[in-house]
Amino acid sequence: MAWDLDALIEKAQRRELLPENTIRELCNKAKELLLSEDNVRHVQAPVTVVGDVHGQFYDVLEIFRIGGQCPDTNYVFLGDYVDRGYYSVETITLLLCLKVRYPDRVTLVRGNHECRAVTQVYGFYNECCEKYKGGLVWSYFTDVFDYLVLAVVISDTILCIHGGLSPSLHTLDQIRVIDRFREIPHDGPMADLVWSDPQQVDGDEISGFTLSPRGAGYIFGEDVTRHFLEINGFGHICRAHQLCMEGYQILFDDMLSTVWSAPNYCYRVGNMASLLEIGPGLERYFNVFAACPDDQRTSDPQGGEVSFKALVQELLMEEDERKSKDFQKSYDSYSQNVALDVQDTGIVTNFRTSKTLSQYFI
Amino acid sequence: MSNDNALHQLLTSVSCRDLVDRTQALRSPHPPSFSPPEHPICLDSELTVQEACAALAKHRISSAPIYSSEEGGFIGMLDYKDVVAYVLAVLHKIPHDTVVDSEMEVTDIVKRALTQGHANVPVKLLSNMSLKNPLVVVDAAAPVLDAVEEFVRAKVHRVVVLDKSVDGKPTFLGVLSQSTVAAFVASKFGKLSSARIPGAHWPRGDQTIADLKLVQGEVLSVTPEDTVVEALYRMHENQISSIAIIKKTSDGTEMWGSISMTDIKEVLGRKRGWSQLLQPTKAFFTSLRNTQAIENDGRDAVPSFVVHPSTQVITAIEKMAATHTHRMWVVDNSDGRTRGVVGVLSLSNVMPLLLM
Repeated sequence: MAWDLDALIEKAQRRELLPENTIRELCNKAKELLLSEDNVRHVQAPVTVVGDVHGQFYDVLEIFRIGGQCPDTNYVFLGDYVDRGYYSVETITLLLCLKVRYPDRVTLVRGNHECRAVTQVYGFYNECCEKYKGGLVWSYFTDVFDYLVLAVVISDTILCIHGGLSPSLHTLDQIRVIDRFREIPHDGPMADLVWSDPQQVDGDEISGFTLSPRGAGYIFGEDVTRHFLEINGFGHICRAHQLCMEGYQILFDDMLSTVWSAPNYCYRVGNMASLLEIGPGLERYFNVFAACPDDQRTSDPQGGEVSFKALVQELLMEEDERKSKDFQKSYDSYSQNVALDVQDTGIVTNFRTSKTLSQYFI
Repeated sequence: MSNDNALHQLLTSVSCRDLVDRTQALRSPHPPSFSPPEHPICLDSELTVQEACAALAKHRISSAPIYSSEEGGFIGMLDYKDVVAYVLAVLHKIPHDTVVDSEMEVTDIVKRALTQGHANVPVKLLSNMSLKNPLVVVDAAAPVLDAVEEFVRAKVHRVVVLDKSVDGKPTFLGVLSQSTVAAFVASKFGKLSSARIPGAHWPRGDQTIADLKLVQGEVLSVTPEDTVVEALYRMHENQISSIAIIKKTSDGTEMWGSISMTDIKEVLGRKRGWSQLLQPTKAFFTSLRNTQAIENDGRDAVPSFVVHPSTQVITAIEKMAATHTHRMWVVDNSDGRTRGVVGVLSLSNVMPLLLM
């Protein structure tokens, strides 16, 4: 049987479930690849950082439309690929395919949901059993999770981890010596990296670390963050792990930021999501986006071609909610859309529209 | 110079009133799920079971005193153990000839529930059904140490604090629970606490769970396939408030999760909730954890809160305070990888330590 990754990727993008044997092969190849990666992986900008996606497959496709397809854009995914959403299996399958196909363009970091204990409770295990009649596929995936890296450093300046800092980890070298090829333990530096949270701004200022209400990891403050950045010569820490209503959050005087990439989390929270686009000169831009429209969630993911007329009608219907200034902005975007429609077909794809409109919502 | 009596001094210098006030003042810095109710909650004796459960759930407390206007005072405490006993009785799980400390026999309560619907059973009939939590009162001016002594003597989880300073009827100030006292101790002696007393030392707290011989060796458990009723029944029968869900694997056992008495509020607080009783424990536990996370701004917690035999007692207490739970499961980690449950450390185990 020929192993054609491009064909598999195409199937995965159509939300077609791959056969069990193929999943096993895919996971084995992924493990081989990841085995040679250090706990701390170094990449160069430009790169786009993606936060939690939690099985929201259509929103992941939206991410590729907005941020650019692989391998045109370099990606660092910060973990939490599975649980909660309805399509955890399809999501992790697609991401593993892309990793194996473009190993230097895609980096997969481990999140707190990439472990056996958590996936049994928060949905991934159940989904695997339903879609593959039995727990074998779940065990293939959770075995791969043991191999995912723990941290990424972008251009020797920006540290990316899933959760946060640990009182046991002061230097990058200490992260490098962890034995990561195992289930995430209940405590210790590996657990802290995927479970910790920065202290939220509306609380009393804490110094150092306090125990986290999540039952693993710590809550850490500004002083700890500054100390870590100084000792290791970094300029910024980017992490995920916490829901942000606006899609992202910047804390501690821009020393730390949270990126969250699952819009309308659990299909009910109504939050925005974002991608952190890091330019060649290390400029940071949070590209905010909303959930993929409902009418695109069940069929052909290539869809998103809407007629210009329909767009106009839709926006005109909401006129009474806008002030004239906003209407002027949307009108401008129409002209931009018209400009994008270089072949005068009367059709502009959705991702182009969202890209132009998104500038008005930041 | 270490101050070994620091704990004793702390517990004798702070009054029950101070601690109740302090808890009620701690509101804004904490996430909504952990803030105490605004006024001390007590339940009218004529409220139905459903209304009472909804009130407990809404205010995120696990117990409240029951006030009878007829008798002009508190007639008992309602907590989830009572509700569970009621549920089990209704489902014919406890023998009907067990006499309860109330004017009606269990059979009458059950009959009434079955014929008139659960909605019509007034909560006063439940107040001491479990026989587990008699109403214990402490004076507001008494030191916290007295409350701790009551926790140990009467084997209760909480006491009612009454202010008897004003002549005539005593005023109900609030409920002082084991969790409040433990959280207070954690804030003053915890290694990571910002409010810890500098230089103070609680020698017993520095000892490990294993040192203090608090590791039982094994715990009562149910399998992920057992039903919720089965779990409640075993808890009721063995007089425990939480049970581990343990799965047998090819190389030993694995802790899957746990169910506690307070989870009953998920069952009784909503429509058709009773059908959840017949679900397997793993489905119930899973849906519980998923809803809790949404209520906590999407912040997922670990499936089980654990410590190790080598964990210091003060750390375990700090963790209980941080996670707002009443117990930590003790998991063996001697070779760094095993996950077998070897014991449970609950607040009831901690309280006697505060007296030593």
